[in-house]
Amino acid sequence: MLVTYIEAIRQAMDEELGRDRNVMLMGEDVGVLGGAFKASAGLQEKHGADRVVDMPISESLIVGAGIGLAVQGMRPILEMQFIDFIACGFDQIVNTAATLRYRHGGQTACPIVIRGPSGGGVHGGLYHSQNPEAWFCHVPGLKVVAPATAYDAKGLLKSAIRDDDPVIYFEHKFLYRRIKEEIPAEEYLVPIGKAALRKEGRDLTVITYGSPVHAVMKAARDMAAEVDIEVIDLRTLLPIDWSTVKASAQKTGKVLIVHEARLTGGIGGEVAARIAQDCFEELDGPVMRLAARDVHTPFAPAMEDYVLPNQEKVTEAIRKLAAY
Amino acid sequence: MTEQKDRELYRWLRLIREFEGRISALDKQGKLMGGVYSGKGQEAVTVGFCHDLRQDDWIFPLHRDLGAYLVKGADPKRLMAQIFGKRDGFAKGKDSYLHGGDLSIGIFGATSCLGATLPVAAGMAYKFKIRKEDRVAIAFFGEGASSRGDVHEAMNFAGVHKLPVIFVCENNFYAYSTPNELQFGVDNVADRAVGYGFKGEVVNGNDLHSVIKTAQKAIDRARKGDGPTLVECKTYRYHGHSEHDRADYRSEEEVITWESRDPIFLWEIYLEKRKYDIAAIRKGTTEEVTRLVEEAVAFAEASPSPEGPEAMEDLYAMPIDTEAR
Amino acid sequence: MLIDVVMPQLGESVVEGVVVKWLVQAGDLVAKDQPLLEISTDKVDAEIPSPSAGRVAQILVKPGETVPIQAVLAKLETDPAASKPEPEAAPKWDEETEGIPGDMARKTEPPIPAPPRVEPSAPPPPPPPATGRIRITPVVGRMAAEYGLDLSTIPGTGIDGRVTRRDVEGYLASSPPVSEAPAKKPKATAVKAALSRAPIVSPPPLAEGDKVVPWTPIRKKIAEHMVRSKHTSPHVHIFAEVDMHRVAAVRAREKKEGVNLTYLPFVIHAAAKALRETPAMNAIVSGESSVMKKDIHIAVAVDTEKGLLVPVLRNADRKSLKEISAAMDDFGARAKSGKISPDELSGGTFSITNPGVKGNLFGTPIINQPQVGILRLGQIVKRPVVIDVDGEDSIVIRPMMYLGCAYDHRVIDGVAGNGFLYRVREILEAGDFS
Repeated sequence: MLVTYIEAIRQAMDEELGRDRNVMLMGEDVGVLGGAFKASAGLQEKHGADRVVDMPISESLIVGAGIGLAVQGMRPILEMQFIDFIACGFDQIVNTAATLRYRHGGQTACPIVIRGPSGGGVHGGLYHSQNPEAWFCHVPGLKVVAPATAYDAKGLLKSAIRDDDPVIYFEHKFLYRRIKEEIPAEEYLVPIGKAALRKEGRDLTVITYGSPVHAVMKAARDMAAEVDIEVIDLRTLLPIDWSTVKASAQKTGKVLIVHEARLTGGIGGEVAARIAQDCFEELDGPVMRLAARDVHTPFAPAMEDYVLPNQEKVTEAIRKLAAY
Repeated sequence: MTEQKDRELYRWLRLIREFEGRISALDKQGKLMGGVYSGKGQEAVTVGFCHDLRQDDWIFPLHRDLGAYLVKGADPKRLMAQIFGKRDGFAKGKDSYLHGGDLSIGIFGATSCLGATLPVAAGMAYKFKIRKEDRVAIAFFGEGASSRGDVHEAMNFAGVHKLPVIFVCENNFYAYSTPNELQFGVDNVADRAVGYGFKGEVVNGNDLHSVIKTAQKAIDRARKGDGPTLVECKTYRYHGHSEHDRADYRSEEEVITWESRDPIFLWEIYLEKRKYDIAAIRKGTTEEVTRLVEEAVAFAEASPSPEGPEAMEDLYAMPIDTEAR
Repeated sequence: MLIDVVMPQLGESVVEGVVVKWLVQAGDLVAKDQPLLEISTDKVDAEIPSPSAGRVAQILVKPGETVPIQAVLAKLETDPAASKPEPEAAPKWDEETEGIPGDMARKTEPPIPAPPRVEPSAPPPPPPPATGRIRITPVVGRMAAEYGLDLSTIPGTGIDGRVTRRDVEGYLASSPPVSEAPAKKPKATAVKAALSRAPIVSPPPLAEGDKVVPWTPIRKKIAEHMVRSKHTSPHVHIFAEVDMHRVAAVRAREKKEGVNLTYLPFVIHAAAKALRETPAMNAIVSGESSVMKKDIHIAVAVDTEKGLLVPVLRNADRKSLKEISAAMDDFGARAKSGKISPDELSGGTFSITNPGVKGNLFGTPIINQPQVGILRLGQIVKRPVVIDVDGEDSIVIRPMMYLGCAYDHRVIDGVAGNGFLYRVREILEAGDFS
């Protein structure tokens, strides 16, 4: 069936709510309104107000309560209305959820999913455009995923809900209604921890995730005559699928990492360091990164375009590395 | 209350005092690492709230609520091992003091982010409500912790849904060195309850009778589905914030005043007035708690320390098998 | 800053114009709006005024040329440095100070400059190469070392002519270019120097069907060793003719009991015994000393697809025939599957090479450095030989084998070398292998 990215998310939640009575969805305006972006349209009506809960504006409580529910065996999905607000619940995520199993010596698990719309390109300004995934990739005990396709959005969300560990799920708002895909009618899961080889190539590897996957794939198609690009969509950011990453780096010898999050301290640095360390003797060029400039994502269009990676910058970066 | 109950309560008070006293001594002997937070003087609060809980009720103690662990049913041996940072502790050495709980008997380990356990308690209470279980959650917090946003968010949510959670504020007048008048603008933390749509009660935290009575009312209310209560227990800690705190910010006179309201002392007076054989009870209880605590120390000392590589365990319930992790 | 002077569009339908005459020359200073040239179009003739003050840097279009609209006619340098330099302004005297001259008079710190705008999203432009600077990436460096390539002879398609991995792969796969430049001398050991002293010959032209097979690392190691060994040890080759009939008899006997032995274990056994008696042959050379090795570890050459492997049979003198045979079978099998460990390839004190059934009569083996001797089995051929039967000379038919031995005449003289080989023959002809 043909679905948009956000419909795929909605379907995943609907199906899991139907499949397991312990699954819940809690967040601001998720119930009656169906979510600020309609990601949960119809779910409260179908599954009940006990399980699809309109919460007060209290991100810390939303996450904390989710943890309490998880200890009791429930599997709550906790929505951050905009991922930018995840900072308000940061303490509960890194100090309570991520440590729960560890500091109780393995007595319990914490099966929560924290999800919300991230990313820019929508004139959202500072508080509706953020990509803060790097903060969480630094916290052991968490898992972090970022789907780029409708297929992965559905499959990864289901896997996240069924995972017994806390999963932070970064959905990209730019993709919500802009991509439409055929997905299977039958149930399927996408495993956490496995990258996707989107395109095979010989000359140069681009490692990416989230919204830029589409610009990279377009560049790969448009530049096919001049350079044969291999594209890896990480999909899971913690833990990263190193064997896929390294195999590709060793195969092509040239790696460009593209992410919409900012350059300094972004995940690209971790990937680049790992490749430089483990694939040093196979490298035929410096490991490069294309990312947002180290500044907040501004509102005015020309400024936002200046800051964020775009099709042109992707093409240029690929071309420069290919020529090395 | 029956004599058996009276004696049982006395035993709890004495056990907690003995346990904490021993820990304080061990700390001064250099046998413990990390922070040690004595609750000496506050025993009546945890005994009053926990003495009649069911195993499937949940408590969320703070770092000073060692007593709550014992009364809720934690094994004193494992509790001591926990404090020693040994493998037999609840956290298996992964975190210190009371930061690991025994989840099998409904004790959620404390964290250092004061007040962070209150939203968790509220979430758990939410589950009790929607699944129609008559279980309760009791969240302890200090008056200092009450300044944190999490406390407000949790109480607010509890009030919206009338959750079966009891918020117990142990006001011992100092958050480390910060006195009440620098912590909040109201006279009583309990005054805030009305802002959340439920009842707040202030109680003499050193008077076990008062605590029991108030606690029972709150617990019954919660079990019946009538919602949360905020109970503020005025009490006092004899020691500093931690064993390394001389607490010079308090006057000796103030300390003495509170010591003369000692909960165990008061309970002994009560037992005596009930014409129980106080001498025998005291002696028998002393023997019993001394023995229990000695056994606990012996167990903890004999318990193995975790090896370095064990640090990497218990991180994930479903570890991912990717290469070069 | 260099700016363009362009052919203007003088009229909506005009598409081109002709340069008629330049009114200035390259190098002239011009003022803003000063006429630079005359042009002519379909509609109108006109003078083009200068877009800015500056210096005419370049005139790009000759008089009489027709150019399209917006074509660049000339370049103008507007930089003040290019124009007449102004005298530097004297620093302002701060009135509030007390007569302190110059820089010290400034009361306020100069404003902190904004940090330079970084371009994090683009890779830094590659630095211009210094003369003769060569870029070598890790993978290219590795391949060059592995295949012994001189990168300066491989055309590079990378940035600044860098030899890329693709370029190396292409070079290896196709015919190498005929080079007239002398090969660059790599950092040399004595051997490599010897190699490079060899006359440089241009590679022969290749015919269709010729196949260039670059040497593998193993092949290169073998080549290097063979040259070095010959260069190091003055080889003396001696031969014994061995009557193998008693060996054959033992073989036949064992075969009846289901034990298959080749001739090799017998020779190894005999050699080990002889080495025990002639310790000088069981030595290795170290600098200017011979180290007489206590234990006898015989290296036995095994031919594999990848090349010669020489696994070592440890303590050969303490092993029975059957044990030796089993070890040989094991080496053979594991050599084929590539499962011989580096430990097993080192520590030999003497070597034996057995070319096998098609080994021909005799051969002159090359000593396995740093050992001092090596044995080579020859073909076994039935031959009529003369023996003494009861004091009378008789002709009998015997299976005869030439056993070749090479010894290092730096350290082994004829007595030891010949004595050793003589003993090996004696032991084999005696037929006692217990």
